[in-house]
Amino acid sequence: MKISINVEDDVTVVTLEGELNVDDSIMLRGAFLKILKEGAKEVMVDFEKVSFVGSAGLATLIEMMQMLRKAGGKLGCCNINSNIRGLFEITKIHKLITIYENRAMALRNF
Amino acid sequence: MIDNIKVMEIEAQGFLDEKKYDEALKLFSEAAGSYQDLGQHQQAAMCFALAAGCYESKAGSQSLYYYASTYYSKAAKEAEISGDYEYASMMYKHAGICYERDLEFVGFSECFYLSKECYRKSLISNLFNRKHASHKIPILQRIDLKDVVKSVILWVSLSISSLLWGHGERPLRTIGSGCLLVLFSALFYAQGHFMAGGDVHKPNLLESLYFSVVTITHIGYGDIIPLGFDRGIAVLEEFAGIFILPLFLTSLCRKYLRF
Repeated sequence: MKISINVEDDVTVVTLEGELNVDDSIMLRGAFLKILKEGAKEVMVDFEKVSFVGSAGLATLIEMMQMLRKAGGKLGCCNINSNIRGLFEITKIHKLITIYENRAMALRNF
Repeated sequence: MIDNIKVMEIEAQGFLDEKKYDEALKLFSEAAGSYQDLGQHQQAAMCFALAAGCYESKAGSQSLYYYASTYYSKAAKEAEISGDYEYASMMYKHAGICYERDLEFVGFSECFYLSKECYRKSLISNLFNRKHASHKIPILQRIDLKDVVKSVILWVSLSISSLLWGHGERPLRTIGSGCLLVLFSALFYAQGHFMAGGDVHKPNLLESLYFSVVTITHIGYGDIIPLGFDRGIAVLEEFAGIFILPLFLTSLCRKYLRF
């Protein structure tokens, strides 16, 4: 999995590419801890190029959301395809993390 | 083993996309079991939640909500073990909703209670649990006074609710708290003085208990008049009685009228 991080309008955007599985989740967690340490408060995860999210990925997203909340920030997700959106809805994660249609909408409403 | 789970999850999600819920839930359950064996409870919770979701999606007109609620409960337990009380609370809530749809009210009652308890734990763990903060986020960045005060107030009110009536699902707790209040008040009365029939005397424990029960139930015969600080205790006991008796009746009706 490829992870790229950039800041747009004071929001840290984490763009993922590939599958979010067990090993990739560890990588994502590491990257997230780094940006949190640097003081990021508003984090947006872009799922446009993600083809699969496993349970480890879902667990990591919840953990990220909780860590950000403790730091007084918030986590959002955007560009989620219908299959992954279905997973979010089944596991009820959509009630914990705000989901936006696309990146522009996310940055406007974050 | 991790590779096997990965394959299982990919296959399960494929089945889920094709709406083949039976196959998907079987694989998600197996994956959850494997994660449990590995001690990865948060991942196990997710897989159990996915299996529960398969049952719920499959349910429709069939009576399968009971199974969905069983899997939601399992997901909640795993989330609880991993220390994620917020997610556990949400899973118990959904388990409760599924139990209610299946007219299984004992399960609903238990899940409702556990959901509230997990939420209460999540409030305090968010404030004090430093497990997730091991990466040393600057302390000022972590603390938002408004949120802290809000969480503490909510935690205190939920703790009182839990102790007094188990969030409306434990009427026996109300009886217990009522009895404790009667006993402690009686012990205080026994230290002071009563006036009965124009005679001032120091009451024994039995007389104090009698007066305490008469006060908390608002019977108020008027045959005994408390003196000194006993008057204050009597007022406080009577005030507490205003809340305890209706709480008991409400929780009793709430619990037993469902059957």
